[in-house]
Amino acid sequence: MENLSKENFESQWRNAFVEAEYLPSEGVWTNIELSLQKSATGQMKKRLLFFQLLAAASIAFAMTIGGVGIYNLINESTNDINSKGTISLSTDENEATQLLQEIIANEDIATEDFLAVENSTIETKAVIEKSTVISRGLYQQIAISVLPELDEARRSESKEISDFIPTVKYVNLVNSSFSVKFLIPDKIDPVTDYALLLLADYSPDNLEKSQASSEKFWTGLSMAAGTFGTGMGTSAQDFANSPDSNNQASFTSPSSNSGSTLRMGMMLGGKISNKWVLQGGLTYMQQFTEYMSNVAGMDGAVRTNFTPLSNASLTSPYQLNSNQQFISVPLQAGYLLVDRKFGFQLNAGMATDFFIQNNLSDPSGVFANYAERGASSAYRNVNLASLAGTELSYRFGENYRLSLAPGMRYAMHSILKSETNSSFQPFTFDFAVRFNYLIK
Amino acid sequence: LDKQEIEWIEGCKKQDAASQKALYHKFCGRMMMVCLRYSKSVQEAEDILQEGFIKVFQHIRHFRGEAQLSTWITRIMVNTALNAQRKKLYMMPMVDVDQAGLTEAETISLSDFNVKDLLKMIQSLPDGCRVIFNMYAIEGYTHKEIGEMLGVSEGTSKSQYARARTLLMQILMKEEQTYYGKFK
Repeated sequence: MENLSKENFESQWRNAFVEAEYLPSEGVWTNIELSLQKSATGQMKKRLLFFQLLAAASIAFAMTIGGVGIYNLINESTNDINSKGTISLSTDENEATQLLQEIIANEDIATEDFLAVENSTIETKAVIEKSTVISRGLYQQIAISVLPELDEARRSESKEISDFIPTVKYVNLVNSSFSVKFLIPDKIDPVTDYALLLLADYSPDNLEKSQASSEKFWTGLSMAAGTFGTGMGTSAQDFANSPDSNNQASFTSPSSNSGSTLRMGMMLGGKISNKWVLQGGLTYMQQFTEYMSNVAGMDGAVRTNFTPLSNASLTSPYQLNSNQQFISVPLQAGYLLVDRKFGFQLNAGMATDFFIQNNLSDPSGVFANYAERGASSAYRNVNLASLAGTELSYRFGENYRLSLAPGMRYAMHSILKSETNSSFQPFTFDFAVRFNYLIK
Repeated sequence: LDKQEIEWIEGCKKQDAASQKALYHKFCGRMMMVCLRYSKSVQEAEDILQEGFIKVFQHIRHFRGEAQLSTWITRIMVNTALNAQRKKLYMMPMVDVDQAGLTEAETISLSDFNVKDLLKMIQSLPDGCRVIFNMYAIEGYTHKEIGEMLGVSEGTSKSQYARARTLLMQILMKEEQTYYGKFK
């Protein structure tokens, strides 16, 4: 018998347990599997929460901007009402120069930039092509500079104001609040017409606005990702069909109350007035939902409890992934709150979603994949959804605009057929990125 | 690491259910024994095993293959078991105990006992003694390391271990007498 002394006491115990095993019950693995699924769902929720918060923040921002926009709109309207002045042309060069200097002083722009104006020639000929409302009531008079046509080389040469010599026209306005038409060339040149625009109460911002206003039509690509509430209960009881012969209920219940969505497609849009736009397109949309189900088809493929039990059988609960695919035709009206290099608009409209198919899969690989479509599908072929959102955009170059558009999409009815006795009305928050080509 | 283990690890990193299941079934028996050594009952051990494997799958992306996979998983199981025991140990803080003299001349061999009997002996130890006995005698931690891990002094670890050793010797001797008594 071996001596159990201090030297070998520990080693004997260690050796006794080296390869020792004890099999745990099967329930341990089941619990681990469920915990891992919950954890994965939680991670997805965290990712989706980011998009939800982003969309919510954007909408709050849009409401604030909207409020400011409406306030400005009301004030602008007041000016329009009062703008019933008379316009008379004057040929007094000194008066014009003095006025011009006053304006320059008020614009807080270095006077020397405009010295050339003082020596300019006065012409009384006015070409009236475009109009604007002068909201400033401070000026009794306003000068209009008409810039000579410059050759192309000189236009691209420099952006210095002193590079060109404008001629000056001015009008003597009787009322402090007035509406006046200015000489503005059809195509506004940011360099040569700067002085004209300045005097016409066009700030550089307004110049941008003028350029933005020239965007008549656009076409582009759009991609969006987001999350939706399934509008379904999570209890298996909510989806229990009639019991089968073994008195067991079939169920297909969502693993969580939310799913995710992806959209991509082409957009077309155009201005229908100064402030209103209409845009539509054609998009491919996918909605992803995770379920727990205890129904499998007779062919060994996954099924939901929407499948008649005559074609399916009950099995142990398993995770089932659903990927619903649609072709969507959205049509939205938009109101432009800001229409400059940066644009901001509110959108609302409707989408007609045409169901293509629903791909069902079992991630564990036990059951085969199954695609349901057409008459055998649980989904309606045509669905309507209401849309609302905002669009923040930035124009770069002459012909491109990039937009970020957080929005909401709500199914106007259950997208499941009535015979399924279930309701699925997704309420989606998504975040779209749009790249538009501007057709002027 | 063998090729199969590497495949499982990569699969688990991608949260592949089949790889997770395969990895679990490969190690669950050995790890259950680890958990049983730190527990009083099968139920308690299964709870630790469950929590431990969830941690394994959640943190497997941090496994760099510097140690054997079984060693890494065992370490997670031991830490999980310690966390489970910590509450009990906090409720009944360990103090230095009188070291009952151990008769060095005792001649008892563990080969006379099967693993199940030895496990029962360990499980019969008081909580503090059991944890420290497992960590020192079987896992191979030093008393200093045990002290740091459990938040007790090195001396406390030593005295608790000595007590565990004495108690186990007494049980072993009693069992042996019973065993040989049958043949008298």
